[in-house]
Amino acid sequence: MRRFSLAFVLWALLTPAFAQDLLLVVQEPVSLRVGPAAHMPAMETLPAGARLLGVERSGGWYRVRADHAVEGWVPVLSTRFAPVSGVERAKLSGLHMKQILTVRPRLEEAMELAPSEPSRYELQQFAKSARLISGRPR
Amino acid sequence: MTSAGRVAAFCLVMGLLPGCGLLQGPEEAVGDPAGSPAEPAHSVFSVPRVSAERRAAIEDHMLAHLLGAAPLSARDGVRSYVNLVGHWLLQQDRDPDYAWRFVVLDDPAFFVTGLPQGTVVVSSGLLADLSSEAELAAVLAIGIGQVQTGAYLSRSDADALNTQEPAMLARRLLGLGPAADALLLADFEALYRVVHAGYDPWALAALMQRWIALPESSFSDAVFSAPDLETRFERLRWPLHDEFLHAGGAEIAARYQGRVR
Repeated sequence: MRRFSLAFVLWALLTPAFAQDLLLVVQEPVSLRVGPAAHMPAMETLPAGARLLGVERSGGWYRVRADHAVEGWVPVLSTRFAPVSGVERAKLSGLHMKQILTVRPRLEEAMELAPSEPSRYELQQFAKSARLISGRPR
Repeated sequence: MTSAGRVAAFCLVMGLLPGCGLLQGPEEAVGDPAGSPAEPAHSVFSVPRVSAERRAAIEDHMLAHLLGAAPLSARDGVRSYVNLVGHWLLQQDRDPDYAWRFVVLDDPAFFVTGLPQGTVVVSSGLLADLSSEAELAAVLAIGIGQVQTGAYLSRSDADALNTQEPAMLARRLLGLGPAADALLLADFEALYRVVHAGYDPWALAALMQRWIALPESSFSDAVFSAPDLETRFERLRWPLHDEFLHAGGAEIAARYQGRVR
């Protein structure tokens, strides 16, 4: 089992298209499907704990590659990303609680920050250029 | 589902029935500060009633602390893009009670929060980690939700909010951080807001999954301390599965990469 996992990790590291943070772990037994929908045929069932490489997301589905190189789709809610280490942004940050409470407040700057509301036309152009359609019932 | 229906469903899922203002009725939902002008309740939780002027004064002092800790982003293009996405999210469902503005602070930690009078603050570090406009919309919708659920104001009682000196109050509210139940409802509301604005709601789910996998030291402890991201993600499981399983929506990765990266 350990040799199998090691081979998978090596394969993942040597596959340049995938970043480390796209490693997914299956949370519950799930069908690997040929397309991003529950009615698509299942190729196999993946056990909880299976590790997958995420390739892309389409709605509530991830396209993944299993460790034996089979590609398919699994639901987003059945997976989690594997923990990522080595990112410690907050240690370099000013936005720490302690810092926020002890700094000299910049009240003038805060009060000068006026709201800047785009015009209706600007918003329409913004939406149109990306074919954003709003107004679905809330 | 209507807004009130969503709140009721949210409260049932959360087991929060006694704490939900809309279900309690308006008299119990808001405080009754003596002499404060009559205003509609702006949150489903028991957020004390505070005039817009007071909220603005408290907010300015809170923002002043944040600006002292991290400078405004100097990237005008990014700021105007974030402002456009934020106002697009507000377009169909704009609460006139707030003066909405979207502020980008130059800081590596992941930070997003909604202040009492409509200011949504987001960090450049968080923006740099996003991959699409749908993810940006999700982040801003969370901030908008925190404004509307009174994430900070609900940490205090009406008396204090209406009588204490704004500078002292702002410092105290920042120290307490946003209220946990308001954060959870804000996430919940954010899902509906992004769908309403035409974005893919699953971008928010995928984003939270990515955040869960990151070490805590990526996040500012001022706004990401409690509840943990795992809990926040779990609370979204029900609407994602029951309401948005087949939802489509725009992702818009190219425009985001072009404007922010």
